[in-house]
Amino acid sequence: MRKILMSAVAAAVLVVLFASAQGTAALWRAEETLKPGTITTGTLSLAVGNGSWASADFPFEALDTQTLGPGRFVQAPLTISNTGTTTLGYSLVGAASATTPQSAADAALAAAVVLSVHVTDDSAACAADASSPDPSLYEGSLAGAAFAEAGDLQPGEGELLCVRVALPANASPDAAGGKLQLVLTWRGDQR
Amino acid sequence: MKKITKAAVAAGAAAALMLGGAGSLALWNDSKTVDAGTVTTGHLTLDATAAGTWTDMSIGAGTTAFVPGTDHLVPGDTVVYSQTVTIAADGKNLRGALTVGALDAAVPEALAEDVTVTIAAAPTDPKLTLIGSNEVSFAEPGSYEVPVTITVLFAKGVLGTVPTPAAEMGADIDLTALTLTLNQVRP
Repeated sequence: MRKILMSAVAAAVLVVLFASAQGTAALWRAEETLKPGTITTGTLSLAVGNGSWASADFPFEALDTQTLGPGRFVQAPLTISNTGTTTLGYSLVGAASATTPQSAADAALAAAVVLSVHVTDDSAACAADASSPDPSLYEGSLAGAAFAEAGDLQPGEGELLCVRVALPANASPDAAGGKLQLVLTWRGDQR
Repeated sequence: MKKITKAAVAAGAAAALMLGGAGSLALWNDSKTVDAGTVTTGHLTLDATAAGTWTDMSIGAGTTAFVPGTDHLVPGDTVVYSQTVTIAADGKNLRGALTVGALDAAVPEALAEDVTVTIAAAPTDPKLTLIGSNEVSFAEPGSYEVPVTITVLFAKGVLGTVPTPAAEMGADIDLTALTLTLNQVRP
């Protein structure tokens, strides 16, 4: 009797095993998804303008060197602004005259002028005939004109600069009749 | 009269015999129920509904808060997302392993060299075993909490001599679908 029972149990187990092998039964599995969302990298962008509009490649028409003579200067306000999403530090990396073709007078004028850049609060202080007492970020010849990281600009923030080009009273007469097309190269670095 | 009486008695006896033959007389039987109770299957579930948090781990960061919608990643940043998922495992011989997926396609092509996304499970429960960095196994039923972290590192690199192309900025890193799979393990 006991033997019969045992074999019945064994048969039942076999039936269960076969049944599970044939069906869709499987080991258990659960699945979930984490959704942290999307993160975005920032942007670093520096623009130059006149306060009402700005561009990465701004024609600085307010600075008119037509009337420049020995012992005189021309100046105009320029706004440096941060149009990215990241705080940046701006710096001046170069200044040159882009007049082409460059005549001897043009070259002499470019070599003779003194460039100065200073921070100002008010564009009126940078009017054509106003002399500004503000300390300069840079003052010197076009060649080698540079200053490092004048200040930090928060996103959307701008700084008003006054750019002055002066021709010393003792400038060489070779510069007479020369033309100057000033190109200032700015740089913004992530802070 | 006596003859009639005898016949009547015989008929009555015959009727009684017939009746008895048609009745419910049977072999004995009896029945009982064996009560083995009820057996119930267990369960194996994964719960990822707990809210996750973002932390800004960047060197020099002003605060540790990081809001993915408004805060943006710049070179040198490290941000970490952490969320705890819960395993509920019920079953006498239930063993299992949680596998954390990958987010290989999350980083756009332009940032592939600079941005790395690292995913790791960091179980603290002594009953959990960490295999590699992204698989957690358990050998007995229970309820287990497994913290999962996603680290996004934007390498600082060195300052370039040319301006960074605008195409490399403002790029999205899509971390919306990290799959976690919990499997039963039956040796």
